[in-house]
Amino acid sequence: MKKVFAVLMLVVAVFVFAQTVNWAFLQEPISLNIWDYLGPNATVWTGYVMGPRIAGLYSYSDVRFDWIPALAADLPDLEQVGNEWVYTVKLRTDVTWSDGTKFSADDVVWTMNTVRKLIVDYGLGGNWASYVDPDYFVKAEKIDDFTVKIYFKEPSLAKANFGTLMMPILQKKYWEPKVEAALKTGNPLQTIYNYDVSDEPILGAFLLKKWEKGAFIEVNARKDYFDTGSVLTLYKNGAVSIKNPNTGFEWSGYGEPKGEKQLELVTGPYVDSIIYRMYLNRAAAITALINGDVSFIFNPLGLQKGEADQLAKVANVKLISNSVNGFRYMCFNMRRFPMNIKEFRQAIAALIDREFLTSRVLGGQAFPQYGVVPSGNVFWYNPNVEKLSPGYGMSSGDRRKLAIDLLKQAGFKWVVEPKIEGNNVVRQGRGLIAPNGQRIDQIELLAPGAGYDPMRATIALYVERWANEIGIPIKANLVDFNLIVQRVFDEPFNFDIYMLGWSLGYYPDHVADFFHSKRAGVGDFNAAGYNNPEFDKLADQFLAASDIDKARELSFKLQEILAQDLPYVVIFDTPVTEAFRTDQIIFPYEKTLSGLQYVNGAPTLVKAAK
Amino acid sequence: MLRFLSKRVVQIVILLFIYVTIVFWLMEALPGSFLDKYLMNPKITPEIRENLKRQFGFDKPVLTRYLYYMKNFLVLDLGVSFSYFPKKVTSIIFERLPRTVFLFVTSTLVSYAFGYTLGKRSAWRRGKVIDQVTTFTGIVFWTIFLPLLAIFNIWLFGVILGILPLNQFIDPNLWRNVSFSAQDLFLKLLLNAFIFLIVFLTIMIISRRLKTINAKRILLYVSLIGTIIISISIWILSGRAIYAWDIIKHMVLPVFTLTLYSFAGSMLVMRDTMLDVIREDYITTAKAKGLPDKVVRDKHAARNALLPLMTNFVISLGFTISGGIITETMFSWPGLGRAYLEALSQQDTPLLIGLLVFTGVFVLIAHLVADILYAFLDPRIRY
Repeated sequence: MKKVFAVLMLVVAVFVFAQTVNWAFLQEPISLNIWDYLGPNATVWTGYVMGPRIAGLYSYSDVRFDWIPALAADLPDLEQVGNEWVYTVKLRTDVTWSDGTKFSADDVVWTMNTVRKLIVDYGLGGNWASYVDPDYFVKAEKIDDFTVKIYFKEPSLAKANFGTLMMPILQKKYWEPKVEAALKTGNPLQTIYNYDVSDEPILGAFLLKKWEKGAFIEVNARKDYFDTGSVLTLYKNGAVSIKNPNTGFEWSGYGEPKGEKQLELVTGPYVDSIIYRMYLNRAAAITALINGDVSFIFNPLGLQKGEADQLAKVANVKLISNSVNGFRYMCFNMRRFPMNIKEFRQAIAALIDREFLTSRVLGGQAFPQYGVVPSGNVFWYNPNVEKLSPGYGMSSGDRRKLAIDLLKQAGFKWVVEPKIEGNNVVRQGRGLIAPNGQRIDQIELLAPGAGYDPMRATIALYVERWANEIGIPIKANLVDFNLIVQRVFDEPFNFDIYMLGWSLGYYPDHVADFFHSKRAGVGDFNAAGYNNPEFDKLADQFLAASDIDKARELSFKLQEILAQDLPYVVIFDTPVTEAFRTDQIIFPYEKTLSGLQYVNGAPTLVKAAK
Repeated sequence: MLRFLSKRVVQIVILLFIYVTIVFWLMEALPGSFLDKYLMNPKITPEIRENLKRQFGFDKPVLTRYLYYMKNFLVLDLGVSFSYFPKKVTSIIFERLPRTVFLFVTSTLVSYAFGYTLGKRSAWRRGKVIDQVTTFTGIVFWTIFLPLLAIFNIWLFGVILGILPLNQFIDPNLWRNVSFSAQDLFLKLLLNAFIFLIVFLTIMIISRRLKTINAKRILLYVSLIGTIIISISIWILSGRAIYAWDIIKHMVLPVFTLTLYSFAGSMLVMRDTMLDVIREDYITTAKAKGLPDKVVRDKHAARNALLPLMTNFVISLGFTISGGIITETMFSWPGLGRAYLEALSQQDTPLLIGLLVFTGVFVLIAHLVADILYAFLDPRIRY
């Protein structure tokens, strides 16, 4: 009888004291099958739920995004063996899967080699390719239960450290028979994507409990999560240390872990479960937040001004704003005349007053961006690019004069030359004539319409106006987003200038992706057709760099070249504003690049408010 | 009649093929494709995109794809969705169908019942206060911006009064620890409603053979109340009543909103037809015979005025399958309407065509049923 009573009390206690947080989603994840998620069905919503389920050998630290060991015990050792470069990684011995199986080198080797095989032999696509590039990755090999060697054709921070070494590791015991069975079917990839994974063992902190389609997903915290109790300390001198008193695991790197601490975090989870509730519109999610049904809203676009204003008046709701890791930009088709003339591009860039646009035209809802690495990505951002940007810090009159001078320098003439006095255009330019005597008729600026992005639509109209004032015949053509994509990427470069945006990863290898001449084919990412041998050489060195400081130095140089050559004129981006209930949850930090949703709401660190 | 029916079925099949062809080519005419989303990821090289193109079948010429689609369509295979790859379109439709049918059939029924009642009363008292108030109110709600009405109702009943759930179709806290899914329950609720309909129709047929009005009434009320009591008892005994109630509770606000928004349509149709009918000689005769007003209105006028409303109702039932993008979005009730929006915004061609075809089939069937019903309700009509 006593036992029954005790069990009953325990059950009651679990219900009474169990801490559950409710989070709002604006769209439902598509699949929790990792093959599908990192294959064709990568959505940010799936990512929010998958994030706390998966783990890789290395990961990013909170807030500062230092590259730190997760399943690995230390940073990798790199050596050249013959023509190949070998990363030797020691694994942690204190990690277990959610089914109690010990994590080992077998899992790592099987995952990496299988993904490569599926990419090469079966065309596994999507984001798996971000992790395993068959042009670089050769194979993974088990040395002992807790040591692996990973072979690459060339050393590369982008392809190895920030690529393969960060990929999610899958359990060999669970997946090997499933994948082998799938390979015997007529369509192996579809079979793999279709597997029900509700019983999949995971390394992450939260196990799927229930997915009620269309309504909610509930995940439960693992009591045996390997990282629980682990203390992550970021020191102001750049050092990082990880100590887990429960398992005895210790690691430190990037200098001596001493002196003033920037941040100290003890890993939980501190909540028993998380319920992701599906709200199909922003107003419903905001009402639910006001009503206290949910504590935090996931929305990659952030709150709009009106929504933020509404929530600012609500008791116990706190608003936070963070810069984002992306930019919105204008791209010149350098295969076409006159966009292939550097001074012409610089003249256009000089006319664009980013500060005026963001503060006055967009009413402070956006912030200016100058370089192809966003300023929020502090470690990789080169602050000098601002000063290299033509017209930086100048008045509108001086910007116009500079643009006219640049055009004259390149040999441009006008039928009617523009005249600037002070900040005013006293005579509008007309009939721009190129250095070769050819009259420039019209240049089309493709930009998304106001329905898709009113900010870019507005800015495109301003660019048109400023350019026309000095006689550059730009015509803004506000069209459907898909039409821009079609004309830029599907058709053979059927554009003069277009305006779009990018969301980026932390490691700035996109600089090479967007501007290396070998990426200038139809459908590839160098849509500008930028071709600079000096840049290519540096970009190759950057991609092959295995030392982070060297890579940073190269990245800075690349940014400086681009700030002057201007295949892109980076213009602005918007901060992401989020809201949460302070009477329900406490986040360990609030300032982080791209907001708290970029770290999946810090599920292992968030606490229920008392 | 049989000849007419077979002719209509052949027409429907031909129409369906034309419809599918138009939908397919319209989708093709849209700029861009589903794969464009991969253009926003610089890690996905053109070679990987080519692989994805092959997986989704974009490597084949559009005519080949069309012929392939039509071939599959003939065996009722609507293909695989792109955005839910590799889920079959039919499985997505059948996952969402019960939620849509339950919400929209209920709201259509309530709205028509409400419109019918108000329409006949306002026509009977033409020019009086009740006529002016109902017509004015109906028109106001009919022309209101639906999302605004939805937000207002959510705010009023969910936030200010706190008597109805704000959003979604279930309360996650209640459903966390149950072993069955909401989908199961929706199917059971639909089955329950279907049984109720069968019972109702059977009683109507039986009651025609009874001689006195009282006997008819007693049979009707006893049977209906009995069915309701039996249904509720079964739900309670199965332990699922609380969950069924949760769904019904969540349905009140969307049904209320949809009824407010759309009752004017059926009310005005009923009112106009009634106004024509009450000018007929047989109504004057009925009144002259000294029959009570209520009997003349309900038995003589309203029954004869029902025909256009019935046609509208049956065709509306066909359209309920398509759900409602705005209602489903505003009340977080993910059904087929929401699936339309997702398919369109993601350029998920197979899913969008599948949804349009599925709706089209039901609408065409509804037209056929309306034709048959005409002959049934009005003996003067012969095919």
